Amino acid sequence: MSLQIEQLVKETKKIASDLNIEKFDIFGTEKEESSASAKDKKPFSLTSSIRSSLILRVWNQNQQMGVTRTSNLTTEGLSEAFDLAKSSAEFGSRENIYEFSPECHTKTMINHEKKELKELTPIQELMHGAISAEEKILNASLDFKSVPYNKVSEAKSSRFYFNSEGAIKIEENQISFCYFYPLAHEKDRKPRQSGHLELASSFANLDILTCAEKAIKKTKDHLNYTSIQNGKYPVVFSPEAFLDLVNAFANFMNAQNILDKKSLCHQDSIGQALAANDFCLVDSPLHPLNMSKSYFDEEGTPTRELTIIENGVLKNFIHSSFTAKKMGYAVTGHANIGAKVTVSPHFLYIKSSNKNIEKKDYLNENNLIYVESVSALHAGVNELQGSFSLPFDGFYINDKQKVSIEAATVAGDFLSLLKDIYYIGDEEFAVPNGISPIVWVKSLSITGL
Amino acid sequence: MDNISQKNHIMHAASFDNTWREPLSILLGIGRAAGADFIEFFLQRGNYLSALIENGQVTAINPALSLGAGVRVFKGKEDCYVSTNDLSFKGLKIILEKALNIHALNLEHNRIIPEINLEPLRDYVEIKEKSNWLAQCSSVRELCDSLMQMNLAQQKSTKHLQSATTNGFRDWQEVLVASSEGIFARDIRLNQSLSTQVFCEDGAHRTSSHIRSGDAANPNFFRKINTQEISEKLAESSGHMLHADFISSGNYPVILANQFGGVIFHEACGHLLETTAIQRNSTPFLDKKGEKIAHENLTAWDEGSWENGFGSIDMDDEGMPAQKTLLIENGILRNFLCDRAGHLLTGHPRTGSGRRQNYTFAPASRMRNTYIAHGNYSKEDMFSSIDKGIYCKKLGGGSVGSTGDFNFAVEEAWLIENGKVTKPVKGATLIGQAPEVMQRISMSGNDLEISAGFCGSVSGSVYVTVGQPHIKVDSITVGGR
Repeated sequence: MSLQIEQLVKETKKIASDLNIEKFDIFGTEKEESSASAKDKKPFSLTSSIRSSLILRVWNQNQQMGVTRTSNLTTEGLSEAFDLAKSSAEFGSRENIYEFSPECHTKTMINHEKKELKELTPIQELMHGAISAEEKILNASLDFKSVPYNKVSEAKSSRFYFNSEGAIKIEENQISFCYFYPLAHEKDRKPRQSGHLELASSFANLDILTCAEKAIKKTKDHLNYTSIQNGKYPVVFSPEAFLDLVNAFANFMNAQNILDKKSLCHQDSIGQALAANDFCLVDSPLHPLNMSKSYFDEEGTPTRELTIIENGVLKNFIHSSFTAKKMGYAVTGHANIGAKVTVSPHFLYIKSSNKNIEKKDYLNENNLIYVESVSALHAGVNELQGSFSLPFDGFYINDKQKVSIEAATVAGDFLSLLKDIYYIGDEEFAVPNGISPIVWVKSLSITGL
Repeated sequence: MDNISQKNHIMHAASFDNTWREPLSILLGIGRAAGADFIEFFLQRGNYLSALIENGQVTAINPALSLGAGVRVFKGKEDCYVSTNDLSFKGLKIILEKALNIHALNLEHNRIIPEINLEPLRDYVEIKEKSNWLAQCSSVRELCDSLMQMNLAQQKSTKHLQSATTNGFRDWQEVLVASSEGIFARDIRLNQSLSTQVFCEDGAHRTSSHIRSGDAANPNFFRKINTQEISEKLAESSGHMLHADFISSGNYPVILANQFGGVIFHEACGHLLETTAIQRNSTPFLDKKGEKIAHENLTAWDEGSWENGFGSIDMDDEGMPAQKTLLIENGILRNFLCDRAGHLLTGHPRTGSGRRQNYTFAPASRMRNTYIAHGNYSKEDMFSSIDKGIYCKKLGGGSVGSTGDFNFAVEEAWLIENGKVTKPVKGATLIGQAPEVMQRISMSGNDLEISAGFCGSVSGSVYVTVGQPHIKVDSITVGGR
């Protein structure tokens, strides 16, 4: 990466000293990225970027904290940012005092991954990958007329944290992904679309053609569709769909949301039964299958595995150093810094604690809905109310038949859903947003077109 | 080439003024000499400030400064986009070379580099007297005081209150566009927005309610907020919804309220009229220009420069002056929203609709201030035409997919029984197919109003206005419990 962190540390120390700022910290990122997509077997959209930005926090003599974000990392830009942060510190809270993380005192540079990052693949190769995959998809069926959403991308990034006490943390990562969402037009029927996303540690490890094959299969599965009668159905969620739902309602585990009274839980919810009694939820940022693992959060706190729900019982909230101190817990490494430090989960891992239960196959069930993916979470989730009403792609299962549903929404209450889980599959699937088996829920409202 | 890169170009870092003419002209010339058909630089500087008040306390002041540039290079109908934070001549030349390399273009040694003859700086900052906007905006102290007053009013007005949140932001952006066709234009945009939310809880009953307002080109926005009116509306809405029953799913005739009700047109139709959707073959209206795609009572516009409209711009991000675009006239599709790439790939005329969130995105055809024009019906005419239906008084966000299937959440819904609004219901989502629903908008009211919103798409999140009078949809699927 081109950003010289040692140089940045020296420069910011000098600027801080010139402005009489004794206490400050900085979290920043640098990212170099290329991506390509195809249309009609030709290049369609080719983009490349090298970008860096940082967020700076400074404290004044009254321990009030002020921040500024900037993407202008020239000396002039950094000076302006320090000046602005210093001014905004005058408006910082006197009651809620933010401090450096109690677990970030590393005085030396650390690159946790210790892996050699490769040069980014030339964009022409990404483009050829996108074109070949698009061609494969368009040749797979006469009904496939286009692949409106497709991309092949590779990125190298670095994250860094340092503070005025001398702690410095740096880590680098490389990731590549592709996705393909074909649109199929059958004569006299509505267009159908589905697709697949694949992640890998680098472009060299990315299996673009397998991703295309999965996109073909998923889209073909939805061609023969039927409308669904409105009503209550038992519902089986795919790993992706269930993880999307849990992430959308993550305020239940979020200590800052709890302090703000914007959570489905309260401070005294720890120890209470929140879900079915074999349901376990862990945040596992360093899981080997997490392609975007971070070894420290934005306060420099090391990340770690944390049990959120064990056997249905809420065990822990996720914390920043502020919420941990305020609520009397240890830090957990989930902070995102800003004028107000927020917290969020990294990589959720769902599993069952009951391995002796009789195995079920949803294809053997009758009158059941399989939800493959949910969409429009920004509109259909009311995270404070706990309710959701989401469009989904999925199947109606009956008489050993699996038929795609034309268009429908699934609606319910998230906390009730957690308690209504009656079976958690024994096979775990790693998907981009975490790891989960398929999850069976007793009854949810389904509305079809 | 080496002589050029070593030349000491002095561009003013603090302003996108005429000092940028020479270096950009040379870079554009390099691109043309290398064989590119069209090159466009977009420079952007941002100064953003937001403040958050929660339950009577200032909990966050977030300033953000940004500076960056992007270059788009066309070779034939293919284009690429490269962006950077480095606005030095060297930094801009690096991204240009990268973009040329993507097209397999290189500048041959000793090739004569033409200097592109840029137009005299078309400076909307001078034309529209915008240079003092930033200084005229509310100071941090004033902003906090306005938001605090709002937050205290929310707390006072709302029953069963768990939390009251008030958020305000000011987004100032300076942009410069220079292209090999000779465009050289500068603009400043100012968008400000207030967002208020209350979360109420009473035993097992929970509800949240929010109101957003926004404005563009008005430094005095936060000085003119009607605290009393907003807090009372919020309290009334949350009061109604807290103990409301969940709606039963089914097909109903629906009346959509004015203002943010316009999100139905934005989602169900507007996105499908962007040439970006034609380029991706992802709109059912692809070859329908001149055909009837909606009920004959429906006329719709997308305006680029509506006074103070949240989505207003004087020029788009390709340097084209904004226009007023007739989308649908009495049900007939008249125009698509079109940017440069859209024009090149689809042949539709450009409409000054090339927009992007910032320099990290290439521009795409996007909506600005989009609304359904008013009709002749009164609200009473509409309600009295329904025996059993739903009144969607306040809508949330939504989305539309490539298949034309759309959905959006209803934040405040009421039952209509025998022509009267009777009781509140919650948990409703409207779902449907755009081409079908557009034919079912059978009545447009005489009370057009607009509302500020954010729109996310291929070129990031941009400020938009949605709007409509009250409208009646004869039948729509409502998802509920």
